[in-house]
Amino acid sequence: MHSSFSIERLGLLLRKDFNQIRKTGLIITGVGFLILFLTFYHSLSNELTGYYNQNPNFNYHNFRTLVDLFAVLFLVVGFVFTSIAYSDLIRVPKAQNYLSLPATTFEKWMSKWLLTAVAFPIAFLLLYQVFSWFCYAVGQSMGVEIITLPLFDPYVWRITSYYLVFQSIFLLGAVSLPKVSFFKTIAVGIGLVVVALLVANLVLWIIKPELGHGVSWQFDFSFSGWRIPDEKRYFLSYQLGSSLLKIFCCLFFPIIAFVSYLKLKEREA
Amino acid sequence: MISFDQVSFGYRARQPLFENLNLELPSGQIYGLLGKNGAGKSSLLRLVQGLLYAQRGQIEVLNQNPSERQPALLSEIFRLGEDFYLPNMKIERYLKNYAPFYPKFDRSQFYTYLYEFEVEKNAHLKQLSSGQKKKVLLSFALACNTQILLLDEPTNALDIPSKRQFRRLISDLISYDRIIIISSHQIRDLHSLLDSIIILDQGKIIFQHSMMEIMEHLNFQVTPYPPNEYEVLYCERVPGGYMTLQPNLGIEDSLEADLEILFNAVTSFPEEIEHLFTKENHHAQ
Repeated sequence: MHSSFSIERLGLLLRKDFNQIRKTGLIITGVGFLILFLTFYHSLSNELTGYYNQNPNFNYHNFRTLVDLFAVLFLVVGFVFTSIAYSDLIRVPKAQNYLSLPATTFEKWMSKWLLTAVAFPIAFLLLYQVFSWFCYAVGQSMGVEIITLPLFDPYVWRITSYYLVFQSIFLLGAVSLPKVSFFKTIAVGIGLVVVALLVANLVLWIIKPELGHGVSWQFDFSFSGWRIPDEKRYFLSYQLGSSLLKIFCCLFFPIIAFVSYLKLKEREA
Repeated sequence: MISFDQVSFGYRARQPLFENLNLELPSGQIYGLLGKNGAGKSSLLRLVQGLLYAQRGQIEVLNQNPSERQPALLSEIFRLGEDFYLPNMKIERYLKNYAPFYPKFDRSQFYTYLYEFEVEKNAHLKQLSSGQKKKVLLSFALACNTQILLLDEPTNALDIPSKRQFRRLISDLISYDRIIIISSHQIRDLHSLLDSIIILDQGKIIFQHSMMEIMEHLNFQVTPYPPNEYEVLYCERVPGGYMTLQPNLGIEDSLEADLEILFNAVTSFPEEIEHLFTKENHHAQ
Protein backbone atom coordinates (compact mmCIF):
# COMPACT_ATOMS: atom_id res chain seq x y z
CA MET A 1 0.00 0.00 0.00
CA HIS A 2 1.35 3.44 -1.02
CA SER A 3 2.33 5.71 1.84
CA SER A 4 2.31 8.81 -0.37
CA PHE A 5 -0.65 10.20 -2.27
CA SER A 6 -2.77 7.55 -3.94
CA ILE A 7 -5.52 8.30 -6.47
CA GLU A 8 -7.08 4.93 -5.72
CA ARG A 9 -7.49 5.74 -2.02
CA LEU A 10 -8.76 9.22 -2.87
CA GLY A 11 -11.39 7.56 -5.07
CA LEU A 12 -12.41 5.28 -2.19
CA LEU A 13 -12.65 8.25 0.17
CA LEU A 14 -14.68 10.23 -2.35
CA ARG A 15 -17.13 7.36 -2.70
CA LYS A 16 -17.41 6.93 1.06
CA ASP A 17 -17.81 10.67 1.70
CA PHE A 18 -20.34 11.07 -1.09
CA ASN A 19 -22.41 8.13 0.15
CA GLN A 20 -22.36 9.59 3.62
CA ILE A 21 -23.38 13.09 2.63
CA ARG A 22 -25.57 12.48 -0.40
CA LYS A 23 -28.91 12.17 1.39
CA THR A 24 -28.51 15.42 3.35
CA GLY A 25 -26.94 17.10 0.34
CA LEU A 26 -29.86 16.09 -1.88
CA ILE A 27 -32.37 17.36 0.68
CA ILE A 28 -30.61 20.73 1.03
CA THR A 29 -30.24 21.12 -2.76
CA GLY A 30 -33.84 19.98 -3.27
CA VAL A 31 -35.11 22.60 -0.82
CA GLY A 32 -33.00 25.23 -2.59
CA PHE A 33 -34.48 24.43 -5.98
CA LEU A 34 -37.98 24.19 -4.55
CA ILE A 35 -37.63 27.75 -3.25
CA LEU A 36 -36.30 28.80 -6.65
CA PHE A 37 -39.19 27.10 -8.45
CA LEU A 38 -41.84 28.57 -6.11
CA THR A 39 -40.38 32.04 -6.66
CA PHE A 40 -40.39 31.48 -10.40
CA TYR A 41 -43.96 30.20 -10.32
CA HIS A 42 -45.10 33.16 -8.22
CA SER A 43 -43.37 35.60 -10.58
CA LEU A 44 -44.83 33.86 -13.61
CA SER A 45 -48.33 34.02 -12.11
CA ASN A 46 -47.90 37.75 -11.59
CA GLU A 47 -46.65 38.05 -15.14
CA LEU A 48 -49.64 36.18 -16.53
CA THR A 49 -52.18 38.14 -14.52
CA GLY A 50 -50.56 41.56 -14.88
CA TYR A 51 -48.79 41.82 -18.18
CA TYR A 52 -50.11 39.00 -20.32
CA ASN A 53 -50.65 40.03 -23.95
CA GLN A 54 -49.21 43.46 -23.20
CA ASN A 55 -45.64 42.39 -22.55
CA PRO A 56 -44.83 38.92 -23.84
CA ASN A 57 -41.31 39.01 -22.36
CA PHE A 58 -40.78 37.92 -18.78
CA ASN A 59 -40.52 41.02 -16.65
CA TYR A 60 -36.91 42.09 -16.21
CA HIS A 61 -37.40 42.78 -12.51
CA ASN A 62 -38.67 39.24 -11.97
CA PHE A 63 -35.75 37.88 -13.95
CA ARG A 64 -33.28 39.77 -11.74
CA THR A 65 -35.04 38.49 -8.63
CA LEU A 66 -34.64 34.93 -9.87
CA VAL A 67 -30.98 35.43 -10.75
CA ASP A 68 -30.22 37.07 -7.41
CA LEU A 69 -32.11 34.33 -5.64
CA PHE A 70 -30.07 31.77 -7.55
CA ALA A 71 -26.88 33.44 -6.33
CA VAL A 72 -28.07 33.54 -2.72
CA LEU A 73 -29.22 29.92 -2.83
CA PHE A 74 -26.02 28.77 -4.50
CA LEU A 75 -23.97 30.38 -1.75
CA VAL A 76 -26.19 29.40 1.20
CA VAL A 77 -26.79 25.80 0.06
CA GLY A 78 -23.09 25.44 -0.70
CA PHE A 79 -22.03 26.76 2.68
CA VAL A 80 -24.50 24.51 4.50
CA PHE A 81 -23.28 21.56 2.41
CA THR A 82 -19.66 22.43 3.28
CA SER A 83 -20.53 22.84 6.96
CA ILE A 84 -21.82 19.26 7.20
CA ALA A 85 -18.82 17.83 5.34
CA TYR A 86 -16.94 17.02 8.53
CA SER A 87 -19.86 15.57 10.47
CA ASP A 88 -17.48 12.61 10.93
CA LEU A 89 -15.71 14.61 13.61
CA ILE A 90 -18.76 15.37 15.78
CA ARG A 91 -18.72 12.35 18.11
CA VAL A 92 -15.59 10.69 19.47
CA PRO A 93 -16.20 7.13 18.17
CA LYS A 94 -17.20 8.49 14.76
CA ALA A 95 -14.14 10.73 14.66
CA GLN A 96 -11.85 7.87 15.65
CA ASN A 97 -13.41 5.68 12.98
CA TYR A 98 -12.78 8.37 10.37
CA LEU A 99 -9.28 9.33 11.49
CA SER A 100 -8.10 5.73 11.66
CA LEU A 101 -9.15 4.97 8.07
CA PRO A 102 -6.05 3.84 6.16
CA ALA A 103 -5.48 6.99 4.08
CA THR A 104 -3.26 10.03 4.44
CA THR A 105 -4.59 13.24 5.99
CA PHE A 106 -4.11 15.00 2.68
CA GLU A 107 -6.26 12.42 0.90
CA LYS A 108 -8.96 12.76 3.54
CA TRP A 109 -8.89 16.53 3.25
CA MET A 110 -8.73 16.47 -0.54
CA SER A 111 -11.77 14.22 -0.75
CA LYS A 112 -13.89 16.67 1.29
CA TRP A 113 -12.51 19.67 -0.60
CA LEU A 114 -13.22 18.11 -4.00
CA LEU A 115 -16.77 17.29 -2.93
CA THR A 116 -17.58 20.73 -1.54
CA ALA A 117 -15.46 23.10 -3.66
CA VAL A 118 -15.52 21.36 -7.03
CA ALA A 119 -18.27 18.75 -7.28
CA PHE A 120 -20.94 20.83 -5.54
CA PRO A 121 -20.62 23.99 -7.71
CA ILE A 122 -20.54 21.90 -10.89
CA ALA A 123 -23.58 19.89 -9.82
CA PHE A 124 -25.47 22.97 -8.65
CA LEU A 125 -24.75 24.93 -11.84
CA LEU A 126 -25.74 21.99 -14.02
CA LEU A 127 -28.94 21.59 -12.03
CA TYR A 128 -29.58 25.29 -12.42
CA GLN A 129 -29.12 24.95 -16.17
CA VAL A 130 -31.67 22.12 -16.24
CA PHE A 131 -33.95 24.21 -14.05
CA SER A 132 -33.58 27.16 -16.46
CA TRP A 133 -34.54 24.97 -19.42
CA PHE A 134 -37.49 23.69 -17.42
CA CYS A 135 -38.58 27.26 -16.63
CA TYR A 136 -38.15 28.20 -20.27
CA ALA A 137 -40.31 25.26 -21.34
CA VAL A 138 -42.99 26.13 -18.76
CA GLY A 139 -42.94 29.78 -19.91
CA GLN A 140 -43.15 28.72 -23.57
CA SER A 141 -46.16 26.53 -22.86
CA MET A 142 -47.86 29.57 -21.32
CA GLY A 143 -46.81 31.88 -24.11
CA VAL A 144 -44.26 33.81 -22.06
CA GLU A 145 -40.68 34.24 -23.23
CA ILE A 146 -38.39 33.45 -20.30
CA ILE A 147 -34.91 34.96 -20.23
CA THR A 148 -32.58 32.35 -18.74
CA LEU A 149 -29.19 32.96 -17.20
CA PRO A 150 -26.50 31.37 -19.43
CA LEU A 151 -24.25 28.93 -17.60
CA PHE A 152 -21.11 30.68 -18.83
CA ASP A 153 -22.26 34.18 -18.00
CA PRO A 154 -19.58 36.29 -16.24
CA TYR A 155 -22.07 36.79 -13.42
CA VAL A 156 -22.11 33.02 -12.78
CA TRP A 157 -18.31 32.94 -12.69
CA ARG A 158 -18.23 35.88 -10.28
CA ILE A 159 -20.67 34.14 -7.94
CA THR A 160 -18.62 30.93 -8.24
CA SER A 161 -15.44 32.79 -7.29
CA TYR A 162 -17.24 34.29 -4.25
CA TYR A 163 -18.35 30.80 -3.39
CA LEU A 164 -14.79 29.45 -3.53
CA VAL A 165 -13.45 32.24 -1.31
CA PHE A 166 -16.10 31.94 1.38
CA GLN A 167 -16.43 28.16 1.06
CA SER A 168 -12.86 27.81 2.30
CA ILE A 169 -13.91 29.63 5.50
CA PHE A 170 -16.84 27.26 6.00
CA LEU A 171 -14.56 24.27 5.34
CA LEU A 172 -12.21 25.52 8.04
CA GLY A 173 -15.24 26.03 10.30
CA ALA A 174 -16.42 22.48 9.57
CA VAL A 175 -13.08 21.00 10.67
CA SER A 176 -12.62 23.26 13.68
CA LEU A 177 -16.21 23.40 14.93
CA PRO A 178 -17.92 20.35 13.44
CA LYS A 179 -21.05 20.58 15.60
CA VAL A 180 -23.63 23.13 14.30
CA SER A 181 -20.76 24.31 12.15
CA PHE A 182 -22.73 26.59 9.81
CA PHE A 183 -24.00 28.91 12.54
CA LYS A 184 -20.80 28.75 14.59
CA THR A 185 -18.72 29.71 11.52
CA ILE A 186 -21.01 32.67 10.81
CA ALA A 187 -20.87 33.77 14.46
CA VAL A 188 -17.07 33.47 14.62
CA GLY A 189 -16.73 35.18 11.21
CA ILE A 190 -18.89 38.13 12.29
CA GLY A 191 -16.97 38.34 15.56
CA LEU A 192 -13.63 38.41 13.74
CA VAL A 193 -14.82 41.05 11.26
CA VAL A 194 -16.06 43.25 14.13
CA VAL A 195 -12.73 42.86 15.97
CA ALA A 196 -10.77 43.57 12.76
CA LEU A 197 -12.82 46.71 12.10
CA LEU A 198 -12.33 47.90 15.65
CA VAL A 199 -8.59 47.32 15.44
CA ALA A 200 -8.40 49.03 12.02
CA ASN A 201 -10.34 52.02 13.34
CA LEU A 202 -8.21 52.14 16.44
CA VAL A 203 -5.02 52.13 14.37
CA LEU A 204 -6.46 54.83 12.10
CA TRP A 205 -7.51 56.87 15.10
CA ILE A 206 -3.99 56.64 16.51
CA ILE A 207 -2.41 57.65 13.19
CA LYS A 208 -4.95 60.34 12.29
CA PRO A 209 -6.91 61.24 15.43
CA GLU A 210 -8.92 63.97 13.68
CA LEU A 211 -10.61 61.31 11.51
CA GLY A 212 -12.21 59.63 14.44
CA HIS A 213 -12.89 62.85 16.33
CA GLY A 214 -16.20 62.42 18.06
CA VAL A 215 -18.07 61.22 14.97
CA SER A 216 -17.58 57.75 13.68
CA TRP A 217 -15.64 54.56 14.04
CA GLN A 218 -16.21 53.62 10.45
CA PHE A 219 -13.32 52.53 8.35
CA ASP A 220 -13.50 53.07 4.63
CA PHE A 221 -11.23 53.42 1.65
CA SER A 222 -12.30 56.97 0.75
CA PHE A 223 -9.32 58.54 2.55
CA SER A 224 -11.40 61.64 3.23
CA GLY A 225 -9.52 64.16 5.33
CA TRP A 226 -6.15 63.02 4.01
CA ARG A 227 -4.09 65.52 2.06
CA ILE A 228 -3.85 63.43 -1.10
CA PRO A 229 -4.13 64.78 -4.69
CA ASP A 230 -7.38 63.82 -6.43
CA GLU A 231 -5.82 61.48 -9.03
CA LYS A 232 -3.91 59.61 -6.32
CA ARG A 233 -7.00 59.54 -4.18
CA TYR A 234 -8.91 57.86 -7.05
CA PHE A 235 -6.07 55.39 -7.54
CA LEU A 236 -5.91 54.57 -3.83
CA SER A 237 -9.66 54.40 -3.31
CA TYR A 238 -10.72 52.45 -6.37
CA GLN A 239 -7.99 50.98 -8.52
CA LEU A 240 -5.59 49.92 -5.79
CA GLY A 241 -8.41 49.00 -3.41
CA SER A 242 -10.08 46.81 -6.01
CA SER A 243 -6.79 45.16 -7.07
CA LEU A 244 -5.79 44.55 -3.46
CA LEU A 245 -9.18 42.99 -2.81
CA LYS A 246 -8.75 40.66 -5.79
CA ILE A 247 -5.23 39.68 -4.73
CA PHE A 248 -6.43 39.21 -1.15
CA CYS A 249 -9.27 36.93 -2.31
CA CYS A 250 -6.95 34.91 -4.58
CA LEU A 251 -4.51 34.38 -1.74
CA PHE A 252 -7.13 34.07 0.95
CA PHE A 253 -8.90 31.05 -0.53
CA PRO A 254 -5.86 28.73 -0.86
CA ILE A 255 -4.42 29.90 2.47
CA ILE A 256 -7.63 29.21 4.38
CA ALA A 257 -8.05 25.91 2.54
CA PHE A 258 -4.51 24.97 3.57
CA VAL A 259 -5.24 25.97 7.18
CA SER A 260 -8.28 23.65 7.12
CA TYR A 261 -5.92 20.84 6.04
CA LEU A 262 -3.55 21.66 8.93
CA LYS A 263 -6.52 21.73 11.29
CA LEU A 264 -7.54 18.24 10.15
CA LYS A 265 -3.97 17.07 10.73
CA GLU A 266 -4.13 18.59 14.20
CA ARG A 267 -7.40 16.73 14.89
CA GLU A 268 -5.50 13.48 14.41
CA ALA A 269 -3.22 14.21 17.32
CA MET B 1 5.80 -6.85 17.27
CA ILE B 2 4.62 -3.92 19.38
CA SER B 3 7.11 -2.15 21.60
CA PHE B 4 6.90 0.78 23.99
CA ASP B 5 10.22 2.23 25.06
CA GLN B 6 10.15 4.69 27.96
CA VAL B 7 6.81 6.05 26.79
CA SER B 8 5.20 8.92 28.67
CA PHE B 9 1.73 10.16 27.91
CA GLY B 10 -0.95 12.19 29.66
CA TYR B 11 -4.11 14.02 28.69
CA ARG B 12 -3.26 16.99 30.89
CA ALA B 13 0.01 18.70 31.65
CA ARG B 14 1.54 17.55 34.94
CA GLN B 15 -0.92 14.66 35.11
CA PRO B 16 0.83 11.82 33.29
CA LEU B 17 -1.13 8.68 32.62
CA PHE B 18 1.91 6.69 31.57
CA GLU B 19 5.42 7.50 32.68
CA ASN B 20 8.41 5.69 31.21
CA LEU B 21 6.25 2.78 30.16
CA ASN B 22 8.07 -0.22 28.70
CA LEU B 23 6.25 -3.00 26.93
CA GLU B 24 7.13 -5.65 24.38
CA LEU B 25 4.49 -7.74 22.70
CA PRO B 26 5.81 -10.33 20.26
CA SER B 27 3.56 -11.55 17.44
CA GLY B 28 1.59 -14.77 17.45
CA GLN B 29 -0.18 -14.28 20.76
CA ILE B 30 -3.50 -13.18 22.19
CA TYR B 31 -2.96 -10.72 25.01
CA GLY B 32 -5.46 -9.95 27.73
CA LEU B 33 -5.18 -6.35 28.88
CA LEU B 34 -6.72 -5.93 32.31
CA GLY B 35 -7.02 -2.96 34.59
CA LYS B 36 -9.42 -0.95 36.70
CA ASN B 37 -11.46 1.88 35.19
CA GLY B 38 -9.16 4.74 34.25
CA ALA B 39 -6.04 2.58 34.42
CA GLY B 40 -5.18 3.51 30.82
CA LYS B 41 -6.22 0.41 28.85
CA SER B 42 -8.10 2.23 26.09
CA SER B 43 -5.41 4.93 25.92
CA LEU B 44 -2.77 2.26 25.47
CA LEU B 45 -4.73 0.77 22.56
CA ARG B 46 -5.14 4.23 21.02
CA LEU B 47 -1.40 4.82 21.32
CA VAL B 48 -0.81 1.58 19.43
CA GLN B 49 -3.22 2.70 16.72
CA GLY B 50 -1.65 6.17 16.46
CA LEU B 51 -4.80 7.94 17.59
CA LEU B 52 -2.81 9.35 20.51
CA TYR B 53 0.80 10.49 20.38
CA ALA B 54 3.42 9.66 23.01
CA GLN B 55 4.82 12.79 24.65
CA ARG B 56 8.15 11.11 25.32
CA GLY B 57 9.67 7.80 24.33
CA GLN B 58 9.28 5.60 21.32
CA ILE B 59 6.42 3.40 20.16
CA GLU B 60 7.00 0.89 17.40
CA VAL B 61 4.26 -1.11 15.76
CA LEU B 62 5.33 -3.54 13.04
CA ASN B 63 8.62 -1.61 12.87
CA GLN B 64 6.83 1.69 12.20
CA ASN B 65 5.96 4.70 14.29
CA PRO B 66 2.16 4.72 14.57
CA SER B 67 2.02 8.49 15.11
CA GLU B 68 3.19 8.95 11.51
CA ARG B 69 -0.16 7.44 10.53
CA GLN B 70 1.09 5.85 7.37
CA PRO B 71 -1.75 4.21 5.44
CA ALA B 72 0.33 1.04 5.11
CA LEU B 73 0.39 0.67 8.89
CA LEU B 74 -3.20 1.85 9.42
CA SER B 75 -4.37 -0.86 7.03
CA GLU B 76 -2.70 -3.45 9.28
CA ILE B 77 -4.42 -2.28 12.48
CA PHE B 78 -8.08 -2.56 13.35
CA ARG B 79 -9.41 -1.36 16.67
CA LEU B 80 -12.90 -2.15 17.82
CA GLY B 81 -13.59 0.37 20.56
CA GLU B 82 -15.95 0.02 23.49
CA ASP B 83 -18.00 2.87 22.00
CA PHE B 84 -18.16 2.22 18.34
CA TYR B 85 -19.72 3.91 15.33
CA LEU B 86 -21.61 2.39 12.47
CA PRO B 87 -23.25 4.61 9.86
CA ASN B 88 -26.92 4.27 8.95
CA MET B 89 -26.73 2.18 5.82
CA LYS B 90 -27.18 -1.38 4.62
CA ILE B 91 -24.43 -3.86 5.51
CA GLU B 92 -23.64 -4.29 1.80
CA ARG B 93 -23.10 -0.55 1.36
CA TYR B 94 -21.00 -0.44 4.53
CA LEU B 95 -18.76 -3.10 3.01
CA LYS B 96 -18.52 -1.18 -0.28
CA ASN B 97 -17.50 1.98 1.58
CA TYR B 98 -15.05 0.64 4.13
CA ALA B 99 -13.73 -2.80 3.12
CA PRO B 100 -11.56 -1.58 0.18
CA PHE B 101 -9.37 0.32 2.65
CA TYR B 102 -8.19 -3.03 4.06
CA PRO B 103 -6.36 -4.95 1.31
CA LYS B 104 -6.64 -8.30 3.10
CA PHE B 105 -10.37 -8.01 3.71
CA ASP B 106 -12.13 -11.27 2.90
CA ARG B 107 -15.78 -10.86 1.95
CA SER B 108 -16.66 -14.55 2.21
CA GLN B 109 -15.07 -14.69 5.65
CA PHE B 110 -17.20 -11.69 6.67
CA TYR B 111 -20.41 -13.37 5.55
CA THR B 112 -19.43 -16.59 7.33
CA TYR B 113 -18.92 -14.67 10.58
CA LEU B 114 -22.23 -12.87 10.12
CA TYR B 115 -23.93 -16.21 9.59
CA GLU B 116 -22.31 -17.64 12.71
CA PHE B 117 -23.40 -14.61 14.72
CA GLU B 118 -26.89 -15.03 13.23
CA VAL B 119 -27.06 -11.58 11.65
CA GLU B 120 -28.97 -11.17 8.40
CA LYS B 121 -26.50 -10.08 5.71
CA ASN B 122 -29.04 -7.86 3.92
CA ALA B 123 -29.98 -6.02 7.09
CA HIS B 124 -29.94 -2.26 7.45
CA LEU B 125 -27.58 -1.20 10.24
CA LYS B 126 -30.18 1.26 11.56
CA GLN B 127 -32.57 -1.59 12.31
CA LEU B 128 -30.10 -3.68 14.32
CA SER B 129 -29.81 -3.76 18.10
CA SER B 130 -26.55 -2.60 19.66
CA GLY B 131 -25.52 -6.24 20.24
CA GLN B 132 -26.18 -7.07 16.59
CA LYS B 133 -24.28 -3.98 15.48
CA LYS B 134 -21.35 -5.13 17.58
CA LYS B 135 -21.52 -8.50 15.86
CA VAL B 136 -21.40 -6.81 12.44
CA LEU B 137 -18.39 -4.75 13.46
CA LEU B 138 -16.69 -7.78 15.03
CA SER B 139 -17.23 -9.74 11.82
CA PHE B 140 -15.79 -6.82 9.88
CA ALA B 141 -12.82 -6.54 12.24
CA LEU B 142 -12.03 -10.24 11.95
CA ALA B 143 -12.50 -10.31 8.17
CA CYS B 144 -10.07 -7.39 7.72
CA ASN B 145 -7.29 -9.88 8.52
CA THR B 146 -5.09 -7.11 9.87
CA GLN B 147 -1.87 -8.10 11.62
CA ILE B 148 -2.93 -6.22 14.71
CA LEU B 149 -6.39 -6.50 16.14
CA LEU B 150 -7.25 -4.36 19.15
CA LEU B 151 -10.50 -5.26 20.87
CA ASP B 152 -11.78 -3.03 23.64
CA GLU B 153 -14.51 -4.78 25.64
CA PRO B 154 -15.47 -6.99 22.69
CA THR B 155 -17.93 -9.17 24.58
CA ASN B 156 -19.99 -6.31 26.00
CA ALA B 157 -23.53 -6.48 24.64
CA LEU B 158 -22.96 -9.94 23.17
CA ASP B 159 -25.43 -12.69 24.11
CA ILE B 160 -24.19 -15.95 25.67
CA PRO B 161 -24.02 -18.05 22.45
CA SER B 162 -22.25 -15.18 20.68
CA LYS B 163 -19.58 -15.01 23.36
CA ARG B 164 -18.82 -18.66 22.70
CA GLN B 165 -18.74 -18.02 18.94
CA PHE B 166 -16.45 -15.07 19.53
CA ARG B 167 -13.98 -17.17 21.53
CA ARG B 168 -13.95 -19.82 18.83
CA LEU B 169 -13.44 -17.34 15.99
CA ILE B 170 -10.62 -15.54 17.78
CA SER B 171 -8.80 -18.75 18.61
CA ASP B 172 -9.08 -19.81 14.94
CA LEU B 173 -7.74 -16.47 13.82
CA ILE B 174 -4.44 -16.28 15.65
CA SER B 175 -1.36 -17.01 13.58
CA TYR B 176 2.40 -16.50 14.03
CA ASP B 177 2.37 -13.00 12.47
CA ARG B 178 -0.67 -11.56 14.24
CA ILE B 179 -1.19 -9.83 17.55
CA ILE B 180 -4.57 -9.67 19.20
CA ILE B 181 -5.01 -7.51 22.28
CA ILE B 182 -8.26 -7.86 24.16
CA SER B 183 -9.05 -5.34 26.83
CA SER B 184 -11.93 -6.43 28.99
CA HIS B 185 -13.48 -6.41 32.42
CA GLN B 186 -15.37 -9.58 31.60
CA ILE B 187 -12.35 -11.81 31.88
CA ARG B 188 -14.32 -14.94 32.78
CA ASP B 189 -15.59 -14.86 29.16
CA LEU B 190 -12.08 -14.91 27.81
CA HIS B 191 -9.73 -16.79 30.11
CA SER B 192 -9.51 -19.87 27.86
CA LEU B 193 -8.51 -17.69 24.95
CA LEU B 194 -5.59 -15.70 26.27
CA ASP B 195 -1.89 -16.54 25.91
CA SER B 196 -0.60 -13.68 28.06
CA ILE B 197 -1.96 -11.37 30.72
CA ILE B 198 -1.02 -7.72 31.10
CA ILE B 199 -2.33 -5.85 34.12
CA LEU B 200 -2.26 -2.07 34.12
CA ASP B 201 -2.67 -0.09 37.30
CA GLN B 202 -2.38 3.68 37.57
CA GLY B 203 -0.55 3.91 34.28
CA LYS B 204 1.99 1.21 35.14
CA ILE B 205 2.28 -2.35 34.00
CA ILE B 206 2.28 -4.26 37.25
CA PHE B 207 2.02 -7.73 35.76
CA GLN B 208 2.91 -9.24 32.40
CA HIS B 209 3.23 -13.00 32.16
CA SER B 210 2.13 -15.79 29.90
CA MET B 211 -0.59 -18.18 31.02
CA MET B 212 2.04 -20.89 31.05
CA GLU B 213 4.16 -18.93 33.52
CA ILE B 214 1.10 -18.18 35.64
CA MET B 215 0.21 -21.85 35.93
CA GLU B 216 3.84 -22.67 36.61
CA HIS B 217 4.14 -20.25 39.52
CA LEU B 218 0.65 -20.06 40.95
CA ASN B 219 -1.81 -22.56 42.24
CA PHE B 220 -5.56 -21.94 42.28
CA GLN B 221 -7.57 -23.94 44.79
CA VAL B 222 -11.02 -23.95 46.34
CA THR B 223 -11.22 -24.92 50.01
CA PRO B 224 -14.38 -25.36 52.04
CA TYR B 225 -12.89 -23.58 55.08
CA PRO B 226 -11.05 -20.29 55.46
CA PRO B 227 -7.38 -21.00 54.77
CA ASN B 228 -4.51 -20.05 57.02
CA GLU B 229 -3.56 -16.54 55.86
CA TYR B 230 0.16 -17.39 56.09
CA GLU B 231 -0.21 -20.21 53.60
CA VAL B 232 -1.95 -18.32 50.78
CA LEU B 233 -1.14 -15.25 48.74
CA TYR B 234 -4.74 -14.25 48.29
CA CYS B 235 -8.12 -15.61 49.26
CA GLU B 236 -11.65 -14.74 48.25
CA ARG B 237 -15.02 -16.10 49.32
CA VAL B 238 -16.76 -17.90 46.44
CA PRO B 239 -19.91 -20.02 46.33
CA GLY B 240 -19.01 -23.34 47.96
CA GLY B 241 -15.97 -22.13 49.91
CA TYR B 242 -12.87 -20.05 49.42
CA MET B 243 -10.87 -19.55 46.26
CA THR B 244 -7.21 -19.31 47.18
CA LEU B 245 -4.15 -18.32 45.27
CA GLN B 246 -0.89 -19.73 46.50
CA PRO B 247 2.61 -20.39 45.20
CA ASN B 248 2.75 -23.48 43.06
CA LEU B 249 4.94 -25.87 45.01
CA GLY B 250 4.14 -28.73 42.69
CA ILE B 251 2.45 -30.72 45.44
CA GLU B 252 -1.11 -30.35 44.38
CA ASP B 253 -2.63 -29.92 40.88
CA SER B 254 -4.00 -26.43 40.33
CA LEU B 255 -7.54 -25.74 39.21
CA GLU B 256 -8.03 -23.75 35.98
CA ALA B 257 -6.66 -20.20 36.34
CA ASP B 258 -9.26 -17.77 37.59
CA LEU B 259 -8.28 -14.45 36.06
CA GLU B 260 -10.59 -12.47 38.29
CA ILE B 261 -8.86 -13.86 41.39
CA LEU B 262 -5.48 -13.30 39.74
CA PHE B 263 -6.40 -9.71 38.91
CA ASN B 264 -7.63 -8.98 42.44
CA ALA B 265 -4.53 -10.60 43.91
CA VAL B 266 -2.15 -8.68 41.64
CA THR B 267 -3.81 -5.32 42.22
CA SER B 268 -3.93 -5.93 46.00
CA PHE B 269 -0.40 -7.34 46.40
CA PRO B 270 1.53 -6.47 43.25
CA GLU B 271 4.99 -6.71 44.75
CA GLU B 272 4.41 -10.04 46.50
CA ILE B 273 3.06 -11.65 43.34
CA GLU B 274 5.80 -10.22 41.12
CA HIS B 275 8.43 -11.27 43.65
CA LEU B 276 7.20 -14.84 43.32
CA PHE B 277 7.82 -14.76 39.57
CA THR B 278 11.21 -13.06 39.75
CA LYS B 279 12.35 -15.24 42.69
CA GLU B 280 11.60 -18.35 40.71
CA ASN B 281 13.48 -16.92 37.74
CA HIS B 282 16.51 -16.21 39.92
CA HIS B 283 16.41 -19.79 41.20
CA ALA B 284 16.27 -21.02 37.64
CA GLN B 285 19.26 -18.88 36.68
